[in-house]
Amino acid sequence: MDRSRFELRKFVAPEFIIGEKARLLAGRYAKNLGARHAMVVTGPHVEKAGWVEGVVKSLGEEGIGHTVFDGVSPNPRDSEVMNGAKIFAEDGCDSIVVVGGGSPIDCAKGIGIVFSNNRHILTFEGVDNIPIPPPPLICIPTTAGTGADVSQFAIISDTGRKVKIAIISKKIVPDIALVDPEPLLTLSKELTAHTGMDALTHSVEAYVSNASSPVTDMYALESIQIVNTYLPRAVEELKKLEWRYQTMLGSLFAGLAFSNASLGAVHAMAHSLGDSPIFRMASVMPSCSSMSWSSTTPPAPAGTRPSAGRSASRPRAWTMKRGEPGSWEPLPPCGRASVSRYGSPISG
Amino acid sequence: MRESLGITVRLSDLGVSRSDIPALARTAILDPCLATNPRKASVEEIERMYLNAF
Repeated sequence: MDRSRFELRKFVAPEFIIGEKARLLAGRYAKNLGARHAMVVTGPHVEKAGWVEGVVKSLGEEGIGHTVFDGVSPNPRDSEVMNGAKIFAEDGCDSIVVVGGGSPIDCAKGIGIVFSNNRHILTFEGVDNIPIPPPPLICIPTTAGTGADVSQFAIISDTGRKVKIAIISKKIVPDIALVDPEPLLTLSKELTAHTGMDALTHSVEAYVSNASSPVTDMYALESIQIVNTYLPRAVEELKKLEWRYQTMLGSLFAGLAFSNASLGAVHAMAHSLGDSPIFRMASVMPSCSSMSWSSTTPPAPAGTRPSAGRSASRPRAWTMKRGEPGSWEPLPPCGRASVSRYGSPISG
Repeated sequence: MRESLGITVRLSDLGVSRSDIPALARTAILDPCLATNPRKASVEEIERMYLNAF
């Protein structure tokens, strides 16, 4: 029997607004959250492309001051988080607005964690290890792939051990995500393709995860459908807002799915690669995950996975075969996140 | 799909060498993401998957 059908499952998601110019609502929502001086976390490319300007203006219109922090490299480093937290405190910031891809978003989450708890970022590794909630966080994603704008994950590079660590907690789900397709218009072909494949990997890993549920399946399957249809179009026509909107929607659904169902071997292996960009890794890894990809693989048997069966009847280029539901066994103790605790989707 | 999007990069293109793979696999097996993988993977299996992407 399908063990997920009657097990307790929880679904955590932030408030989000998706649509053209959603980013310009940053000021209004920051005000709603009580912000007086926000740290705007971003990356140099996003800033140069002009996507930060309107956000900062919207803060100003609500009388909210800001400090821009753009000292974030691809794959945010522990030292960058610590530096950001220092500046956050020095400038009297009380909230974070992040405009960027997965790296600035993860860095922003890290800054909030360190500021509230006053400890080194690497001490929060694992699941539910954040005692005090971080300050309000508004996320404006500028890639369609990360999912960090809605997820309870933050991935930080441990520069000492040269690996990426995962910090997983409901406390780092943003307060609001403003999901705007417009910033995608300046994304290169290569980044569009790689981040899109990251979104696809999120959906697939969430769908085959042991912690999946009917709710996460719904988002995962729909995301696979959307990304499969629209990512090639977006890569072909980079300036077409409709394709960009669809890939953003696919990324949002993928984020909601994996944030609640978690991931699998592909991301575990990508994290181990440390400073190699995760999206590049994800894009070379589909053949490595433990499911079978095939255009001829039959859908899950009727009754074992209602949502899979239903969706499999829809036209799609790919179907997939799950791992045996009962084949997962807890890993031996490893001194990291408690596997049994992690495996329980209702922890925290 | 990967190829149709022009993504052809392999691990070897990212500066990873074959001798790095055992250490990568030993780290990967400790990653929390592996806890929810549908099949339990051994270090050897993870090494093989890295080799597939090499």
